[in-house]
Amino acid sequence: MPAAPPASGLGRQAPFGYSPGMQAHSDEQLMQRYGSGEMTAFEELYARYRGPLYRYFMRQLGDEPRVNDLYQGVWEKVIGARGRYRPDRPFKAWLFRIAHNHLVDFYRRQKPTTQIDQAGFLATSAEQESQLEQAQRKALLDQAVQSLPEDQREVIVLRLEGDLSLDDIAALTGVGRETVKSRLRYATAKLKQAMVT
Amino acid sequence: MNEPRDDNLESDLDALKSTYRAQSSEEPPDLIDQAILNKARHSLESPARRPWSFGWIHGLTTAAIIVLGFAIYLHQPMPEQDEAIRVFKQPSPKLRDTESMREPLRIPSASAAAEPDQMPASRAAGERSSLKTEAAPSTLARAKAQVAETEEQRVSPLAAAAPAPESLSDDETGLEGAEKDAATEQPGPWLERILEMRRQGLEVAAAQELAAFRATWPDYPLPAELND
Repeated sequence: MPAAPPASGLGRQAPFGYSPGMQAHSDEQLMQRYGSGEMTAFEELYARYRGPLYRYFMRQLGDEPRVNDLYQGVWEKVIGARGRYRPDRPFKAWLFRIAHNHLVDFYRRQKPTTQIDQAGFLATSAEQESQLEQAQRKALLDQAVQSLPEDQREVIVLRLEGDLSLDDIAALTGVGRETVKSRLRYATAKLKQAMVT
Repeated sequence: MNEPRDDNLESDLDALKSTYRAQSSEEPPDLIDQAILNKARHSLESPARRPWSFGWIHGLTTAAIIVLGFAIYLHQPMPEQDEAIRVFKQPSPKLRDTESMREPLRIPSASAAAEPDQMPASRAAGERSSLKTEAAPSTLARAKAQVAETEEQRVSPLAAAAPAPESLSDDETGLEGAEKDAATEQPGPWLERILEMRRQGLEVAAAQELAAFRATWPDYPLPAELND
């Protein structure tokens, strides 16, 4: 499995010594090296996925304190499992599977208040949209993603942030490949429409 | 093979991805970054600390094992062996006094297997082997067999070293009956005893006793009554 591309979306990388051209080691190799005690390997791995993972939660929830909790929980799980990680398993798919499971657990715990929070987020999002006129397209995109149904939102975020294949998304969400493709198609159409309007 | 609709989906996704990533700038706060990295670093350091943090448990466990082992050793069934060793080492004041020598050799415990000299060798061996084999798993049976073996070892060398009373006295002195007594009796009392025998009319016995006296003390002067 190829390592995550050094996309521009990774954002600030200087504190972790990561640069886009630095792909000498695959994710799996880095995780293995961290498992054998190399802290620099974890720093490099963290630099690769801190942005995509954070935005994965941000797109799903939009609530920063909760996103911070879930984001931190996923990395703690990765750290705790460093001795049990099998290099034959693609790291990126494994990481986002942990994130997906955290999100599902969160939804299960928060189900009664989800609707209220969603309404509050939309109101906040609307206020932000009026304040950030210069970043109108970004706000439109955020709002479009948030307005997607939960199942479609997850697959499109996994695809856009995690750059996961259809098979990986199907495996970690527990649905068939065709179902994933169908959800992606609907989500893409809605986002395109939102961006045009 | 990809269908045309798949190609459309991929191209739509690629276009969306470039727009999406260009506008995606959210990142975790620095504090969270630092917290996660610290946790990852601490996770690497913690295994090295573990032995130190539980060192006192290892020490306590070792001490407990030593104490327990010593206590078990003290509670082993050793008294019979100690008794056997004590009797075996007891000094024999007079080797000739075989009766007194044999008394402590009597087996303290009333085990039949403990008196191999009083039973046929085959029977003793049979009993010993049955003691050893019939209850091998049992600790009690093993202890009995061990005691029987110890007692056999104790009796055998003594029995060999302490022959029967008759043969012992014969071998060591080379004398018989009155000769043995004469060898140790002083001449004065011996002569008085001979004279007393004569006075009582035991002439033959007195003559024999006198002959023995002369053989023992050839130069000793005899009284006038015996020179006749």
